Amino acid sequence: MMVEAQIICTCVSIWIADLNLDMKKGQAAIVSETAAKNSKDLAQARKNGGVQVTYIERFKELRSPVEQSTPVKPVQKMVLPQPPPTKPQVRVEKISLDEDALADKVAARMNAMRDNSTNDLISSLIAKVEQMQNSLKERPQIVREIVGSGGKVETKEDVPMFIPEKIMGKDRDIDLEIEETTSEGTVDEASEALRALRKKKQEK
Amino acid sequence: MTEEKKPVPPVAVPFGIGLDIGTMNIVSARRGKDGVQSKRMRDVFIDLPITAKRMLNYSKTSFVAREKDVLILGDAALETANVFGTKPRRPLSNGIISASEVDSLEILGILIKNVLGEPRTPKEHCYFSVPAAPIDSDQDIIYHKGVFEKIVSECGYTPHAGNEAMGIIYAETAKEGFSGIGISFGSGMTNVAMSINTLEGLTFSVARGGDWIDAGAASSVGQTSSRICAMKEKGFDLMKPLGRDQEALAFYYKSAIDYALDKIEEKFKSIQSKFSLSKPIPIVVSGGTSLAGGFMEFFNNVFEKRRDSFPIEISDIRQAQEPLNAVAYGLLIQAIQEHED
Repeated sequence: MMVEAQIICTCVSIWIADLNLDMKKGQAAIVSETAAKNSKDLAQARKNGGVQVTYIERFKELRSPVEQSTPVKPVQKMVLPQPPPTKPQVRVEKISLDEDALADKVAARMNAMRDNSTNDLISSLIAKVEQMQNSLKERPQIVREIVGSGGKVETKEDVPMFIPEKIMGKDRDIDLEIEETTSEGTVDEASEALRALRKKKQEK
Repeated sequence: MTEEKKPVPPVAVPFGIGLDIGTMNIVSARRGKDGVQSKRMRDVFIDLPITAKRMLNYSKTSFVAREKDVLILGDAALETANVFGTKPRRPLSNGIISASEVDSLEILGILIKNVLGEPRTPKEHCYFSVPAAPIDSDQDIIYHKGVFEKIVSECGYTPHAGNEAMGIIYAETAKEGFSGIGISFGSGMTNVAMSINTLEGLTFSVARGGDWIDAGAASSVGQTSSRICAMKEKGFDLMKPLGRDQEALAFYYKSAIDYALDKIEEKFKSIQSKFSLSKPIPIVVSGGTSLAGGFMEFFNNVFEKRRDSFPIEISDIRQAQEPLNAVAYGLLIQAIQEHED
């Protein structure tokens, strides 16, 4: 009894190098059990689900030995040159999307769906956005990004930001209880030292 | 023979005002005839239904009457909140104008107008504090600065934004030639500045301050932040914490200090190649959070453990003479200079 392995390709195409098998999906090949079990590439392909392997038991036919009266001339086995192993070619198709064309198509479809009321709505929306942009431009306050220098916080580049034009209300004049203290402090000495330092820097 | 009394020449009081706008307090400082005059108000408010108006009139509490409610501002708001058992609201959150408080701008306008008072000369220069950009949160200070410029300007002053921690440098490091590291441990955030002869070498802020400490301690012992804050303000010694609540507070204080020092190291290392320090510089600590008992000893202990690896040579570590006013004093010094220039 002999055992053979039937290998069926279950993926698009596969190349099992050590068995020299180049198979396409659905193709089957039969190799000996030993060859199949020794093939690392087959094991890997099987692990990855690229092939299905079925072991088939076959019975050997026993024949009576043929009487040989004359010595038979040994036939030289013809060895065909092995084709070089070819790896499955991977076709990469470059899909290019013409976004402009697509946008034109979408716009054309949208236009077909537009009616007078939609047109009016769009034009009124555009007018409102323009009105808002103009009112923002008229706001006097523009706050800028802050960078450090000598304690004074300065600004670097324009970052427009909305700040109400008037924060303080006139009707909000109330006197609140405030904790007031007077201290000697070191403000005078520090001011004097700062003055001297600035003078020194200017002289330099 | 009696000595003829010579008339005393009037003292020239310099113009200029400093304004420290913090999450917990708003402080102004200006030079008066008798010294430096400072005004302080709590940066909090509370709203009550319009029906509370009569009761407030009887109790002579100042309030702002609106269409549907009345607003009590400042220290009175804190007292009223305690009476009603409610939490006072804050126009600033984490050191920056609170986006979630719709009344913030109006409240801040009234508070600042009261703290600043009228300018002594038209367009008197006013330096107001602005935190440095936070390095650990995506908060934006551009809007914050713009709003205060507007408010100060509407009060009749010429506004100038000044870095908060640099204010400490101006107020406290004159003898070192305005060189040092200023750390302002505030309620909403911690601000750091390193200066060499008034030149900013490094400024940044971290979103960890008194509120962060309270919240951390509260969550770890199953309390509320306001209760932890009240316990903290009642007074306790960081060096000798009693009970779990105080131990939790000490833990979070240490964590906040370590975090600030970590960030100074990290930031300084990134700019180390750009300049050199010819001599050791001091660290000056300020802010309301630094008022906790034993804070300086605690800070020193935390720092000493890392002194060897600290990239900057430190001459001494000291607390600002008036931790609640130091920033406003520093800003006042800059405002006075602005008038002299």
